[in-house]
Amino acid sequence: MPEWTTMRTLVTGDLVTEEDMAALRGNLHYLLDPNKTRLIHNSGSGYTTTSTSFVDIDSTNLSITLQTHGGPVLVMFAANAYASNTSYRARFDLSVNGTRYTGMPLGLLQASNLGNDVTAATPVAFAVLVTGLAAGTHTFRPQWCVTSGSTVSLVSYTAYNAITLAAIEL
Amino acid sequence: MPDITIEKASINPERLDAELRAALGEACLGLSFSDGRVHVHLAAAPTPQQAALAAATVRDHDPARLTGAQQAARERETWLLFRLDDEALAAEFAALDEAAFRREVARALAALRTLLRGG
Repeated sequence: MPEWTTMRTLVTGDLVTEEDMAALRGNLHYLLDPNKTRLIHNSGSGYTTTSTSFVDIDSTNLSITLQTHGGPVLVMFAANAYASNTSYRARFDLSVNGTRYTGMPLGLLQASNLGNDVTAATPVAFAVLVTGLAAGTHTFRPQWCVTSGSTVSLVSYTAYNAITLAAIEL
Repeated sequence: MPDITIEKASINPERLDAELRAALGEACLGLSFSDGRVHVHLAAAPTPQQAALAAATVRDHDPARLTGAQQAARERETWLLFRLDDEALAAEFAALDEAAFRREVARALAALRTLLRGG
């Protein structure tokens, strides 16, 4: 995968070297093929939670770590959710380096009127542009929680749907 | 958020959630389940007693047992089934001639009397 190189600042009279051109060429390649990871995850058994506080959906398999160069990162998440009762609501957010990105009580989005079994699961998705990241290693994980007394599940079976998580530095 | 992870092949999430909250109180924020593993979510790092209690609660959990709400929902479904059966029965009776209808009613009354006598 191409890497971004911080180029030196040239002033009038500077000699443009082979290294400068190599960095320019490498950066053009990077822009055409930016830093990214995409997961299409089939857990084989799905996910269920009753947690009333935001928790990682799967801190191992639904987790993306990118080595960034200081640019914003677009994170996309898509899944299918169902609940045993249509009055149950699921809330989703994004954790960036272990901290919820929005900090809002209900997260990035709240899904209500979910289908009541795996065959009637309802799509849930978000895309969020994460800005203000310093160059370095950053970990992105979708999180969820449910309203009190609820049980909500995400489909992640071979016979149904996978969960998609992607992150790309822009 | 601290978790305790315990292996368990299957669970009734609503029932286990209620059992964990009853055992651990407000320290328990809920559970997640995937691929044969229960993650008990806690508000703070568990004491050894809490960890042992959570493990025992998950181990002793019977996924076949229902919560009160699940039981009530199942009973509502059962009543609906009875009503559908009655409708089907009424349709059958409507197709009988008068003599056959009288015989069926007599037979049903006899069966009911036997049932009420505990026979």
